[in-house]
Order: sequence, then structure tokens, then C-alpha cells
Amino acid sequence: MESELGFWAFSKIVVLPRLLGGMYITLQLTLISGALGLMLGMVLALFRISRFSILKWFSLLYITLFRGTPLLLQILFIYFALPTILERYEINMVLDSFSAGVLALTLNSAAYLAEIFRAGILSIPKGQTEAARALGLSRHQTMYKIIIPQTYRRIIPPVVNELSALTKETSLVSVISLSELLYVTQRIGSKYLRVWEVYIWAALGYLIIVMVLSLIAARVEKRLEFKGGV
Amino acid sequence: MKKNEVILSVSHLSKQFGSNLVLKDISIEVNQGEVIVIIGPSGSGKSTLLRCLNYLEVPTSGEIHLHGMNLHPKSSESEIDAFRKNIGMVFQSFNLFPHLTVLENITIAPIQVLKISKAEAIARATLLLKNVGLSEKINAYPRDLSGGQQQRVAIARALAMQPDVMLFDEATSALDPELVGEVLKVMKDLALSGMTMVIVTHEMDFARDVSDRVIFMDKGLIVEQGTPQEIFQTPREQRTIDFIKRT
Ligand SMILES: Nc1ncnc2c1ncn2[C@@H]1O[C@H](COP(=O)(O)OP(=O)(O)OP(=O)(O)O)[C@@H](O)[C@H]1O
Ligand SMILES: [Mg+2]
Repeated sequence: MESELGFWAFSKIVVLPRLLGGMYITLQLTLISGALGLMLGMVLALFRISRFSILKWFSLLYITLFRGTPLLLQILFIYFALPTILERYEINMVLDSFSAGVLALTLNSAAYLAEIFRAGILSIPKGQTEAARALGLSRHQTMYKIIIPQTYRRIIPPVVNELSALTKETSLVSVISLSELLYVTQRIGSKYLRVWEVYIWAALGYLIIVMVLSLIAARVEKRLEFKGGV
Repeated sequence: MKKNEVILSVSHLSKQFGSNLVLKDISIEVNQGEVIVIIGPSGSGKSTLLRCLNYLEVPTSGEIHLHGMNLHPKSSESEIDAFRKNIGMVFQSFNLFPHLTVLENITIAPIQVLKISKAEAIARATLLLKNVGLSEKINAYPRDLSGGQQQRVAIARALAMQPDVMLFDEATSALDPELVGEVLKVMKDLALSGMTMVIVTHEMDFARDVSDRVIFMDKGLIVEQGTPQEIFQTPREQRTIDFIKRT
């Protein structure tokens, strides 16, 4: 019966209510893994430039691994393979598809964000570190009070870029049957055999999320008054 | 003013970059209140020596004593940090922190390192800014200052730690000629106030004017040292004579 509805009626009655649910999950995936990815990414960046070679190598290995393999594979690995590996060590971890999705997206985006942070830190002239250390500031104080604050302006554009890529990549989580936007879209499409109407709305959904995020980022960038032009 | 009391002493300091021996067994004693100027051709190791004095560069061998403290190549990070509190350094390229105001540039180290109160740090900074003639720039950011003003702030920033010794590495070399004078004047005032200073400079008139002792370095060695009179008027070593003639 629903398949006989016109485009607008079909969209209004069938598509949109379900897509909104999917969009909500997509948004959650993006925000949670984005926030966690930012934190983990900063830790990895600091490891990467640490003077302790174990941390340096760990970080390098991590980044290489997560940037060198497909995200799709990472998602499938975490959802299907990880629990069976852990089981061998008698660890029973039940990972629902949402948690597995968040985990995969966090670990993956952290690798990319780490490289952005590292490049930002390395772009600050060496004289800044020397002046700070000569004043008696510790390594730690120099990093947090002098170096990192000078990187904010430079890293905002690439970070926003990475976060909007993340938004779109959340769609890959559909492969583990998480009812995010793309998964819901596919389900409706095949159930009612009306494909293009559904996909257009889904595309619009992603577009809206990315645009809203970019708008917020632009606001933040303006609000963050860059002191001293830095 | 010169108490003939050794405040900083360097003994048998050597520094090697790879196979390049840049400092060769340098020993210097600096007296309380003394103003030492180091001169020498480019690449002779002047900057490296100065940077070894506060361990921005870790010497290959040798020791440095300041008060009761003693640094050597195996000293720990915390010993080095503690040592640095007592030695101020001014760089050729100013190296002010661009994201901090003039006031914040001056107060950050006293607050973070010496743990003095913010109010006290601000009082200190205000006085120092007055001394370097920049009271009205207290809330400016570095990019709004001329090179000469930035360097005067950098001097105030180092002085805010109330160091025992101040190091200057070509503090005026990056400045437009018309801005050199204002910085040299601040340095001269500081010398007259009794600060112990080790200065690397190409400003020979300034060296003659303010120094108690001139050290001539070449190829990582102290070739000759003496009063400005001795070094500039009656140098003994051929290398010194050649260098003085050229400048
Ligand atoms: N970080 C470094 N790594 C390798 N070699 C270095 C380093 N720093 C300095 N050198 C070398 O050490 C030697 C002395 O350099 P230094 O900068 O101390 O000379 P300088 O007397 O200050 O010269 P200038 O008058 O040009 O400033 C030079 O041969 C230089 O190439
Ligand atoms: Mg030099």
C-alpha cells in the first residue's frame, strides 16, 4: 500500500521518520568517536614526539597500522574477530554494534588526528622551546603552556576536515547492522523497492550533519580569539 | 662592585657535534658582578659555549659550577631545571611567546617555576618594564612591538627570574641599525647595576665600553683574554691581532 504513495507522501510517512532515527545514531557515532578520537590523537601525538623510544615506536606502529588498513576491515575485525580472540584469554567481552562502531571510529580517527597534532607541534619554531627551557620551565610546562597553545589556529582547519571525513565514514558501520543512517536507508529501500527516493534523503542527511559541524567549527574558530595573532 | 668572588666557573668544558670538536677544553671563572664579552670569528664556538652554560646544549665533557650547584654531562633533568632558574638568557631572535602579552611573557616563568604569587609577579614585571622603558606596552602582544622593543621585553623576561648571571647571544644582531642603541643602553644599565653578564657580541665599541674582561675565541679555543684595553689596544696573539684589525 505504501508503495503506491507519491514521492512527498512516501517521504513524509515512511522515509523521514525512520531516517531521523538513523541520523540520530549517525550523529551520536560522530560526536562520541570524534571527541574520544581527539583525546586519543593528542596522546598518540605526544607519544610520537616523546623522548622515550618505546612510546615513540608504539605510536608509530599504531598510526601506520590504522592508516594503512581499510576502516571497513577495522570495523569488521573489532566486531567479529576481537571477541573471539579475547575469548581465548578467557575474557568475555560482549561488544554491541554501537560500541564496536564507536571503538573502530575512535581508534581510526585518532591515528589521523595524531598526525595533525604532531605536525602542528613540530611547526612551532625551536626557539620557542629553547626560550621556555632557558627560563627554567620544565619539558611538560613548555609543551602545555608554550607550544600547544600556539598550534590551535594552525590545526583547526585540518581537524575540521578530519571530523567531516569521520561523519561520512560512520556509514561504514552499517556493515555490522547498526541502524545508523545508511543502514536504515538500505532497509527501507529494499523493503519498499523504492530506492532513489530513500537515497536522496539519506544523502541530504549526511550533508546536513557535515554542514552543521562545519558551521559550528567556523563559529568556534571565530570565537577562539587568537591571541597575538597566533 | 667587583667582589672577586667567583660566581660561575667552567672547567675543562668540551663539546663535540659528531666528529666536529667545537669547544676544546674551555675553562673560565666569572666573578660576581663581572661583565665578560666574548668575541671571535663566525663558527668559533661562541654561541655553543653560551648555550652550554645553561645546558641548552649538553657538553661532551667538563663541569659548570654556580653557587653550590654543579652540572656535568650526567646531570639529571631536574638538576638542569634548577640550575637554569639562576641563569637568564637573551637570544638573537628574541623568542618572545607570541600568544602571550608582554606582561604574561614576563610573569609566566616566575609564576610557573618560582611559584610566586600572581600579584608579586605582576609587581615585578611592572617594575622591570619601567626599567626597560616599556611600561605602556604591558598589554601588547609581541607582534605589535618593534624588534628593539621585543628584545627589551625579552631582557625583562629573563630578569624576572632574578638570575645570578645573564647570558646574551648577539642580542642586537637581528635588529635594524637604528634600534640597536636602545637595547645596548638597557644592557649597559644592567651592567652598571652590578649584574654578572656574559655577552657574545660583534659591537666592539660596546665591548670596550662596558666589559671588565674580553675573551677572544677561535676554533673552539680561548686564544686570549684580558681587559678591553689589553685585547683591543695591545693584543699579543697573532690571531687576535688579525681579528681586531678586521673589525
Ligand atoms: N646543533 C649543531 N649541530 C652540529 N653542529 C653545530 C651545531 N651548532 C653549532 N654547530 C657547529 O659548531 C661550530 C660553532 O658554532 P657556533 O654557533 O657556536 O659559532 P659562533 O661562534 O656562535 O658563530 P657566529 O658568530 O656565526 O654566531 C660551527 O662549526 C657550527 O657549524
Ligand atoms: Mg653565534
